[in-house]
Formats: sequence, C-alpha cells, structure tokens
Amino acid sequence: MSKTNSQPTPPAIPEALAHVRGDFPILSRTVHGKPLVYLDNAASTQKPQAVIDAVTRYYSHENANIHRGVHLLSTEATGAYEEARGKIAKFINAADDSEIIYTRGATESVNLVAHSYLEPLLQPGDEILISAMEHHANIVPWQLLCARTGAILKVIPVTDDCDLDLATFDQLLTEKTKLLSIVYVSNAIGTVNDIQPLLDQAKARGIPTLVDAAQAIQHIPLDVQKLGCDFLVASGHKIYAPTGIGILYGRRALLDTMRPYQGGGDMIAHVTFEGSTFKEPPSRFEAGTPHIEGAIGLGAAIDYLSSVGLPAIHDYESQLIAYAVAKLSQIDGLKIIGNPRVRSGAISFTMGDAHPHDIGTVLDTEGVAIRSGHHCCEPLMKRLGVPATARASFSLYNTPADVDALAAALKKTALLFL
Amino acid sequence: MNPDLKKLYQQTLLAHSKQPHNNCELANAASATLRNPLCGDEITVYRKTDDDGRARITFTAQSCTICLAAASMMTQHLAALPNPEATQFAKQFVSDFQDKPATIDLPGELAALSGVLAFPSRIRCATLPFEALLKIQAQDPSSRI
Repeated sequence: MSKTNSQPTPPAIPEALAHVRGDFPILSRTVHGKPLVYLDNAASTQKPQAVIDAVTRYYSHENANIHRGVHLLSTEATGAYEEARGKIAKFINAADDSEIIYTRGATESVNLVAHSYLEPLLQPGDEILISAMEHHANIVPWQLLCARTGAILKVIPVTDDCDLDLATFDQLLTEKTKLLSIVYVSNAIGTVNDIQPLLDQAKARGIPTLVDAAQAIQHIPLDVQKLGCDFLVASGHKIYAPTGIGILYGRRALLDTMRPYQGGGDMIAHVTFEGSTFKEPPSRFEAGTPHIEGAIGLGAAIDYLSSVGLPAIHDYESQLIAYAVAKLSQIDGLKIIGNPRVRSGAISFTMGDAHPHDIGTVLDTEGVAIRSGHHCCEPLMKRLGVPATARASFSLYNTPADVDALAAALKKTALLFL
Repeated sequence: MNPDLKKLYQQTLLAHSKQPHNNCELANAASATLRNPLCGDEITVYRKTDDDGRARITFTAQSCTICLAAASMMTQHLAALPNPEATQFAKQFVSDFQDKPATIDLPGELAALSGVLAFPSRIRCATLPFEALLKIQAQDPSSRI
C-alpha cells in the first residue's frame, strides 16, 4: 500500500543558525559531481573554520610542549591547553576544571575508568550494569574487566521501540552493582534515554554512575552537577573538534582516589628508582605529551557551539529530525528501525531487500553521505532483529534541503533494488 | 544514474543477488565462515567432493548485493574448474582485487564484478566469498577445492 502523500512542513532555519553552513568549508565541496549532503554526523562531524584556525594558529604561533619549558612558546601553549580545559568544564558545568581529563576519545575515557577506578574495587561476583543499546565502547571495556576480575556484566533490556525497558531495573540494580554505565543518546537509533531517574536511583543506593554522552554533548545541553553522575565521557570529533581528543569528566572526590592510568612524563610528582609519586588530578591521568592541538581545537569547537547557542541548536535539530522522520516515513518499502519516545541525532532504517551497504553506495553517488552497518552496536542490532541498518545522522548545519536530497536519493535506490 | 553505479549494479549482478545459485547449506561438507567487520556481513562457504569426483560449492550468507552475487557466481564458476586451477583462480581473484587495478579481466558472468573497482570500500564485498573458500583449504591443507 502506498504511504501518505501529504507533505510534511520543513522547519524554518532560525536566525542563530542561518549562517552556520558558511562556517564549514568542507560543505561547499562536491562528491561524485553532486553537492555534498553530509548525514554521517554521528560517526564524525565536520569542522568549522574557527576550529581549523585554532589548530593552525597553534602550529603557526604557539607550537611547543606544555607544562615543561620556561620559554614563551611553552607558556602560551600551556595556557591555551589549560584554557580549553576550563571551557569544557564550564560547558558541562563541572564544579572544577580539574574534573576534566583529556583522553583520545570516549572509548579511552571508558577504559580509563575501568582501569583506574573500577578494577581495584571489584571482587568476583560484583556486577557492572549497562544497557542493551550501548556502543561497543561501553560494552567491551567492561567485558575485558570482567574477564580480569570475575565480575559480571548485567544488561538493562530494550523494548521493540528501542527505549530502555525498565521493568526489571530495580532488580538489576543490586548490592553487588559497582557501576551503572549508561548511554544518554543511542548512536545507532537516536533514542534519548531519560537517564536522570536512573542516575538518581543509583545515587540513592550509593552506586557510582558513568554517562556515555558521545552522542549527547553536541545536541543536548549537559549539566553534570544536575545529572549527578560520577563520570561522563565524550569525543571531540563528534562535537566539531579534531579527532584524537576526548574527555573524561570525573567527580573530583572519586578522581582523588584513583590510581594512574598510564605511567610516564607529566603525571608524576617525584620519581626515584625506589618508587614514584603522582600528581593530583587531572595530570595524574595524562601521561606523556598530550594531543595539545586537539585540546585547543576542542576548546575552539566549544566556543563555536556556545556562540551559536546549544539550546537553539537543540531546538532546531529536534524539528529537523522530526521532519526527516516524516519525510522518510513516506518512502514505500522504507522501515524506520526503533520508535523511541524522544529522538536525537540519528534515524536508522532498512529498505526491503536493499542491503544497507548497497543503499550507502547508491546514496554516495548522489552526494549523500550516510553510515551503513551495525554502528558498533551488534548486540542492539541482534535485539532489534536486523543485521545492519542505514543511518542518517544530523547536526547543526543540516537543512531541510539535505533531508529532501536524502529522500530523493532513497527513492532512486528503491528503483534499483525494490 | 551515475555511470559507475550503473556498471556496479548491472543486471547480471542483480539477477544473481536476487536469486543466488547454490545458496544453501551442504551436509557433510567442509566449511568456513568469514565476516566483514566493516559492515557485519557474514558468509559461510561449504565444499565437498561427491562420490563421482565432482566438487560442489554452496554458501549461506547475510550480506549485501555484491557479496551475494559474487558468492553465487563463485559457486558456479569454481565447481566447474578442475583442481588446482580452482584454488589458483580464487587466490588470483582475491589478490587482483586487493591490488585495486584500474581494470580487471574476469571470465564469463564474473566480469560483472569488475564494477566494484570504482568503489574501493566495496571490494571486500566481492572477495569475501573467495576468501572464505580459501579458508576452508587453509583449515585443512589436504582438502582440495
């Protein structure tokens, strides 16, 4: 049966976002002779000129190692690096700059918590609670930790609509639970989890919590003190910053108790052959020369986001994704996977017998970049009964015209395969 | 339509993917499973030699159009080849595609797979069935394709 033909109304682009496309030089390039329609933002976002300039400026004017030299360049580089830490702390409302640890990305942040915080506390039989919609980065580090310690990984199930199924949450949270590690926004489906009650419940029972905010921080204003989480992880490249930089937010009281992550320069207070002592957080967890330009670029990205305004971005993106859902729902043979109560960032779908990889290839020739595959969420794909999906994911520079281009390209795909 | 895309998804390939040949398990056969970690596609190839000395190759897969078509064509083409040509052909096929040449000469319907050369990220889709077949032999060097 043919689907409804009434056309959804595209959202108006608000004044705050009216000129953002001009800030991203890559958006003016073509792909296979077609204008680029970049809808793979959940995988990685494009970079605004302000970020590119910040990285260039560092290499052109400030390049030196940090926390070491007494010379001017080192002082300036250290200042820029630490200033960026302050911007991040303010952006997520951390109580203190020292609660922000630079990592390579959300994945390393989770691994850091596993190694430095949780491992020394675990006894065989202890439990770590995650959900069935986690990215592999919030599954595999805990599996490895369980293998090392004899702890057990427990999983909050998801519903057919791909919301968390909390019917058994009370039973899953036990006196053996040593950490609740939960995703805020699903990268694969776009589900926005109502994490506040879960964090509150865990906190009331004295259970530490970690929030995977890799797909939330660029879309939803975050306040770690209001959330009351103990840890929060995110990646720079998904928030318009360079690759190879990410953050771990950790509540200072917990960071103070944690062992180092890696050993090396810059994380020590004093070294002798008889033993070493370590710096206070955050330096204790940042061994070696860090990704200085990445941190500076991340600071610039946060300045950029703040100048546009995250509440305005959130409001516009919500309207855009609702438009995209309505538009894609009209395509015969297309099935949107998951129907979460609140959605942000991404729409996953299948199209009859057209394999997601084939959909991705056809769309690419139309200039439309999407992701196909299991989205690093194999257990979720299995739960939802699909081996893979095609996923369109949105950011502040996407427009209703991008959605229209996606829909038009999908209709061409259907002609080929359906 | 983009000419590269037209060449990739030509009728021969689509016909094989929609109705793949030898798309079934094979009882009492040697088998090997391979997965493309990029997309999660998975294929199992089965091979055995019947009492009359003829090789049979089949496959089961959860995979894209290109991988399905490549597997279908492979089972037909290689079962008809005498040994050790079949092994040599599979090795050469994988190695040729991995080299990403501008063009590639392939016999019969397999020529339809040359369209993937314009899409480097899809080359593995075409080689995966052949790699699985070679894995059977790697698991048991005494076996012959």
